[in-house]
Amino acid sequence: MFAAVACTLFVAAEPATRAAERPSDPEEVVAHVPARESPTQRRIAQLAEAAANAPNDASRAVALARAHVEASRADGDPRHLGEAEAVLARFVRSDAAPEVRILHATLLQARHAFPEALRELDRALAARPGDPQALLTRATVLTVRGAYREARASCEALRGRVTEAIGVGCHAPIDALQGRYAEARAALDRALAFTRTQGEQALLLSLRGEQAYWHGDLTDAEASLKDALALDPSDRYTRALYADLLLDAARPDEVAPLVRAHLADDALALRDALAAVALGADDAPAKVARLASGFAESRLRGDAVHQREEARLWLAQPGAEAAQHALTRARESWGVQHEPWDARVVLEAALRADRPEAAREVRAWLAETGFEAERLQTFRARLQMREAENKP
Amino acid sequence: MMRMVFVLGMLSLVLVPRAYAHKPSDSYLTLDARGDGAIRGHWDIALRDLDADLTLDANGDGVLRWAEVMAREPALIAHAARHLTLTRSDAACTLSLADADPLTLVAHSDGRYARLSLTARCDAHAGALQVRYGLFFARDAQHRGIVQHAESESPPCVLTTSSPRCALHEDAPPGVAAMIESGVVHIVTGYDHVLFLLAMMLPLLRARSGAEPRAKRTLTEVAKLVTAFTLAHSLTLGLAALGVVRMSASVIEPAIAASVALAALDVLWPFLGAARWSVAFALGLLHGFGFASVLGDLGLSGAPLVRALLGFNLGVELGQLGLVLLFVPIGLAAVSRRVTRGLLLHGGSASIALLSLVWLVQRVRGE
Repeated sequence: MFAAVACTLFVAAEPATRAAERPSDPEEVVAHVPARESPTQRRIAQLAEAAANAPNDASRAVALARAHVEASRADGDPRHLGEAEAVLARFVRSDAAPEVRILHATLLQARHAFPEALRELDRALAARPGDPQALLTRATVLTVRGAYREARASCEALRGRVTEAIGVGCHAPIDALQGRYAEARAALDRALAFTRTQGEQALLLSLRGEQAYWHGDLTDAEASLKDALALDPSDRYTRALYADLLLDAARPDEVAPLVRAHLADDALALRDALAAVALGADDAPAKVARLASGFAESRLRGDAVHQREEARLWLAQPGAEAAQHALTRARESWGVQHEPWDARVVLEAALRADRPEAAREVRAWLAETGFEAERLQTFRARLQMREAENKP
Repeated sequence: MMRMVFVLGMLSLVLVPRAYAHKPSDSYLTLDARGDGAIRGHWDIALRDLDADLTLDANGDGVLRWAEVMAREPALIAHAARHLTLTRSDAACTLSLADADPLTLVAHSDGRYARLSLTARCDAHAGALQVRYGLFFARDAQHRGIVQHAESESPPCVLTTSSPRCALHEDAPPGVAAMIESGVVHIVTGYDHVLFLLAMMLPLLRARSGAEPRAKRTLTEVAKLVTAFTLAHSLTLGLAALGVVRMSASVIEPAIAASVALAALDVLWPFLGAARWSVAFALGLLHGFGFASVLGDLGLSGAPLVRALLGFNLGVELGQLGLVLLFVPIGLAAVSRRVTRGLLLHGGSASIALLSLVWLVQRVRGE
C-alpha cells in the first residue's frame, strides 16, 4: 500500500490518462469561480476600471493589486497573487515607487523568492526610510531566513511607528527562540493586556501559542492556540499549528474535526493526511497520494515552495527510501528558509535515514544562533549520540 | 507557511498566508508530432482561468454551470487559439482546436479543465516544432503553460510570461525495446563490424597441437576475443554517444574499413601476433565510434540518451552473440575438412580483405 503511494510521489501529473467527458446535464456545476456579485470582486472591478482609465498611475495599480491580495487571503487561492503581480508588472522598474516595491516584495516572499523580496524592501526603505510596512515585511522575511540579528534591527526601527502589539509580535518570536523565552512571554502578555482590536489579540495569542509549542509547554500552547482560533476561525496558520500540536501530543484523532472544513487548504490537508497515517486509517494512502500528486504538479510547473510539506509527507511513510527522500526535500527547504520547522524536518529526516552527518549544517546553525527549543532537543541529542556512535 | 502582517493605512491588519488551497494557474498542452507533418494533441485549460478572462459565469453567482460554458464555447476556443502559435522551420502551422473532437471536461487537482483537442498541419516537415504561448499571461504573471511531448521522456517545457517559447523534438525518442532492436539490426547489417569479428576469429579455428580439445580452446579464445571487442566498442560507443569524445565520421569510417582489412590480411599472412584479443580491443575502439552515429541522430540528451545508449548497446551485443554462436560451430565444422578449411581460411579472408579495401578506398574518397 505504502509502496504504491510512494511511487505516486515520483509520477508527475499525467493529463493523458484522465477521463475526459462532455457533461449531459446543462445544469451541472462544472466549476466554482469568484462571484462577480461579491463585494471583493465588485471592488476589484471598480479598481480595475480606475486603473484602466489611468494606465500610468502607479497608486491605482497598487490599490488594485492590494485588492487582489485581499481576495487571495479570503479564498486561499494563489491565482489572485499572480493577478496582483501582473497588475504591478509594468511599474516594477528601476525607478519604481516605494509602495510598488513593498507590495511587490510581499508577492515575492509569498512564492519564497526571499532574496529578491529583501532587495525590493531595501530599495523601498532607501527611498522611504522608516516605512512601517516595509520594515515589518523585512523583519518577517529575515526571521523566516533565520537572520535574527538583522530581523531585530528592523523590529527596533519599528518602535514608535506601529502599535505595541505589532512591535512585540516582531521581536518576541525571535527572543523566544534565542533563549529569552520568559522575557518574550512577558512582553506578549503585556501587549495582550493592552491591545484593543480583535485582530491583534488573535495574532498575539497565536504567537504565544507558537512560542509555547516550541518551548515544549504543550498544554499552555494549546490554550493559547484555542483562544486564538476562537477569535479568528479563518486563521489557517494557527489552525495548522494546533494540528501539529495534536500530532505531537499523540492525539491524531482530534485533528480531523479541527481541519475538516478546511481541506481545500493544502497545509491543513497535510495535517489531515498525517493524522490519518498515524491512525492507520483506510483512506490514509488516498490522502497521501492526493497531496503527493499536488506537490508533483507544483514541481512540474517549476515551483519550489512545498519541500517542507513534502518532507513531512515522506517522513510519515516507512522505509529507508522514504527517509532518504524526506532528507533530500528537508535539505532543499533548509536551503531557502530557516524556520524552526525547517530545522526540525532536517533533524528528523537525518535520524530516520541514519545519516547524522547530513544534519550537521543545521545543528551548527542552531548552536551558533543560540537556538533553544525543547521540541528540537530530543532530535539534536539523538543525532549527537548517533554521530558519536558512528565514529570509529 | 508564514504569517505576514500587512499594515494598511490606518493599521488594519491583513494576514497573507503562504499555504494555498490550490496551486497557481497552469494549463497543460500535450503534443504528438509525427514525421508526416501532422500534429495531434490536446490542451487542458482551467475553467476558472477561462472564466476570469471571458466571464463565462453569466449570472455572476460564482457557480459555473455547463450551460454557461456551452453558451460561450466558440468564443472560448477562439480565445485559446489566439494565444498559441506553432511553427516549424520558421513556417507557420495551421492550428485547429476542438475541431475533430468536441470540447470535453477533465478533472485536475485544482478543479475541472476544458480539454480542447488539437490538430495542426505544418508546411515544413522537418525541424523542431516551435511553440509560442501567451494565454493568460497578461492577467496572471504566475500562469504557466506546461508543454509536454506525448510518449516522450524529455522534461516538459514550462512556459512563463518571461519565457513563452520552446522547441519540441520532432520525433519522440524511441523506447528501450526499440533501441535494443536497433542495436541488433545495426550489427547484423553492419557488415564491416561483422566481418572484422569473423576475420579476427578465423585464425582461432586453425588446427593446433595441444592437450586441450580444439573446440574448448577455440571457444575460450573466441570468448576472449569477442569480450575484448565488446568492451572496446562499448567504451567508445558510450564516450561518443555521451559527447565526451568526438570523432569525425570521415576519419572513423575509413579507419574501420582499414581495421577489417588488417584482420583479414592477418589470416593470410599472420602479423598481428598471438594476443589477438588485445588487437581486437584496440581496433574495437574504432568500431564503437561507428555505432555512435546512430545515437547522435536521435538528438537526445540526459536520461533518455543514457537509456537509448544502454538499449542500443544491449542490442549490439545480443546481435553479436547470435552471430558468433552461429559462426563458431560452422567454422569449426568447416576447418575440420580440408577442402572447406582452405575455402574458409584462405578464400574467406581474401574476400574479406578485398571487400574491405574497396570500402577503404570508397570511404577515403567520401562515397
